[in-house]
Amino acid sequence: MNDLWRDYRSPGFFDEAFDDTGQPRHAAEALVRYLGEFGRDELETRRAAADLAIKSMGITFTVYSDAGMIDRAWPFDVLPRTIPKQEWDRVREGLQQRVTALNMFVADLYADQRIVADGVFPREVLAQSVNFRPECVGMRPPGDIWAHICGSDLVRDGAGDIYVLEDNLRVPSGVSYMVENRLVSKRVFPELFAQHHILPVDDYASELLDSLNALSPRQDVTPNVVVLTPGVFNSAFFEHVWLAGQMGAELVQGSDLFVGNDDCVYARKIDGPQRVDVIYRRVDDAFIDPEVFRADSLLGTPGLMRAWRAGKVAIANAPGAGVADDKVVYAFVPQIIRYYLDQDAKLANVPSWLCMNDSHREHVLANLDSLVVKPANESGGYGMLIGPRSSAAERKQFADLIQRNPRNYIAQPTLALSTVPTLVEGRARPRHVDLRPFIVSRPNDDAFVTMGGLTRVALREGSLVVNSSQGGGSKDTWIVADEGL
Amino acid sequence: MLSRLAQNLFWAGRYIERAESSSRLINATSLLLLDMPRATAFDWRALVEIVGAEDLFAQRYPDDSEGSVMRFLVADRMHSSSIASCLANARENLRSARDLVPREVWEDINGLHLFIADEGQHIESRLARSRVMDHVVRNARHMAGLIESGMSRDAAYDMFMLGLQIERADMTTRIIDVRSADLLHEAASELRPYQTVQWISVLKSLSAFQMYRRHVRVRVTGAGVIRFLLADSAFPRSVRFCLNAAADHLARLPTSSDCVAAIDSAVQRLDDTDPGTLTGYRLSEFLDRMQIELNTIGETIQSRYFQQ
Repeated sequence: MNDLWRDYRSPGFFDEAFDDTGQPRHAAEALVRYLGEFGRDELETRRAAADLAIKSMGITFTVYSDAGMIDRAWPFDVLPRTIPKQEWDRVREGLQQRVTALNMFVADLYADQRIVADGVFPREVLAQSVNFRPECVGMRPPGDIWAHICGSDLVRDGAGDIYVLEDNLRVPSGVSYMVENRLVSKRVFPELFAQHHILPVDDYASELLDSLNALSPRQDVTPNVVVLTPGVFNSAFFEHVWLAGQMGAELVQGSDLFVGNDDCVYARKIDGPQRVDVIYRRVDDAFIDPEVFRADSLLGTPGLMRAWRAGKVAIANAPGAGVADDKVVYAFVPQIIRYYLDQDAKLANVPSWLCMNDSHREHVLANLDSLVVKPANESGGYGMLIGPRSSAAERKQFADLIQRNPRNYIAQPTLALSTVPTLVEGRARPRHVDLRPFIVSRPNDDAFVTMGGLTRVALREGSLVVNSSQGGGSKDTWIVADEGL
Repeated sequence: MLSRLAQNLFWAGRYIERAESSSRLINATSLLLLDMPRATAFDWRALVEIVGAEDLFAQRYPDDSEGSVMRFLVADRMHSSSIASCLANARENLRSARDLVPREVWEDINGLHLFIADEGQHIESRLARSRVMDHVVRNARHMAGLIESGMSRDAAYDMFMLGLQIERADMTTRIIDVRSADLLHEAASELRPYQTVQWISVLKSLSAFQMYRRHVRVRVTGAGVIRFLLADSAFPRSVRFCLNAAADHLARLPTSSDCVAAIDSAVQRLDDTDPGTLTGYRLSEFLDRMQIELNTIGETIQSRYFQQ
């Protein structure tokens, strides 16, 4: 026996493994029982095995410091997070619904803008969007899909209800770690996989490749898919290498590609130029084509937009898809779903106050000490205000910012994020988590949703910061089917 | 294979080989000093000439003492062919191409890069320097061994080895060029009795002494050494051997006929002239032509594979 679960409590928060009476929840029961019977040394042995696996598998992320860039071993907590499959099925439907509506929204904005004409989405919000790309107006990508890959961040509040915190429609990352985390936990707890019915996550790359292949402008030949990376200095470079390797696609940089006089895209290979059909880009669209967007970009390929507009190459995510990746747009997602699909949103938004709206703004200004204030898009350069931890001076500063540019701000209540047991010096301790599932949209088929997603955990006690560069870690996420328990 | 990655591997091969051969050269030269009369003021600038960086050296260092030359050749990052710069460049080239070579090669180059950044600062004493140089040579050999035994014979392998062979031929030519000029010039001086040890040192800087003994089987002479290092077909650091090996790698790469022709032209020079019979300005003219041939080979590879 060990002390793993002794006195485990998470007062004031929803804990995902234990209920308020300290009893394990159904999906976690077998896991809790099994780990509780480990010898003291055994648990430590497994933890060390996980560290070793991460090092020997070379799972890293890149951080910057004064000494230059360093590859750090990926921070991983061995205790898995469990989510019942029945609950996940509802989340999956909600994500499919959400991403379908968001794609219709983006397609509409670059076509007739019906949603604006009908007064559902305010024209002045669109006018202020920095991620709206006029160069994309009139374009119709295959199947009208713009955001092929979406990473939506989900959180639970104090009651255990799941909310969408944000949708990442530009270049969401993390999926490689989701898959690698599973490989690590299979090495560390092989016997648990025999006892539980844990749904697999390793099919992501095949699903992604199928979806990318389906976008190819040349359906008569095997499509040539490439992954476009900003290069080795990007913090997600590990993932770019991983994705290319898993899909058997070439990993290219902008300078490896050129656009011919025939408007086709070619890769520079030692045996001559090779036509490229589909580009999975991990470069922000502002940088992909210096002829159209930022002229100082060295990451892009001149003429890429010309090739895309001519239909000679598919780009995922489509340039311009980021228009829906904006905190103000986020607040409108429930209306967007209703407008295009005539349905209620199956997954809730975190309640949001739009500062552009007079009554909302009054509420926000009167309650700055309890709210989280977020700018509409990060490129503004202003950070967030976390009310309960802010100083009077910071609140004053944000009050001024909000009054000067109300359309640029939304506010949300401070959420009591759920906790999951995390191994700290041989004992389980409650730590806050979020979850990023990935949704792959494709023409003529329902969107594919990963089984679970990447769980990020704030390793410091009480912390809500889950970013790996700031002391965050990750966990394997198990979608557990009932039958095996 | 992408042209960029081909270029990365080619230069990784060149830089690793350059770091290794510079280390050998420094060690062999330091050992040579032990055999020379104490009164001789050894001219350390010869080593700077070999890497072809006399001007930069003169700008950056007030004197041409042993300490200055060693700092310049080992640790100076402003000098693009210093051992520290070569290892840093090899590492940057391998960073993008790390998935194309065995994982341990990437670990080795990282380790070696960190090692030289640190230990490269402690090379004043000849003992410490010899230890540091040995470490570089051993690790470079380790990487070459991992590549030899762990890489499929594909375009990535051929590009790495092509760079390595071209660099090796280049360094051998440079060493003969500078050292033979010194040695032949000194023929009449008071150092004459020491000529043999100096030619032996040339062989040792290319790890060629033992094989020379076995295959040439006469006492070490200038003519014999020059012939062996340029034209021998069996010794792996001779220029002919390196060129033949480079041609074999090219033969497996796509549409390489221009590059192979450039190599054939260089080999033809070795066939036409017995370098052992050359002395004085005729030898140095021959070596200059070989250098030009090697540059042409490099440029042909560059324009054929890397710049499309």
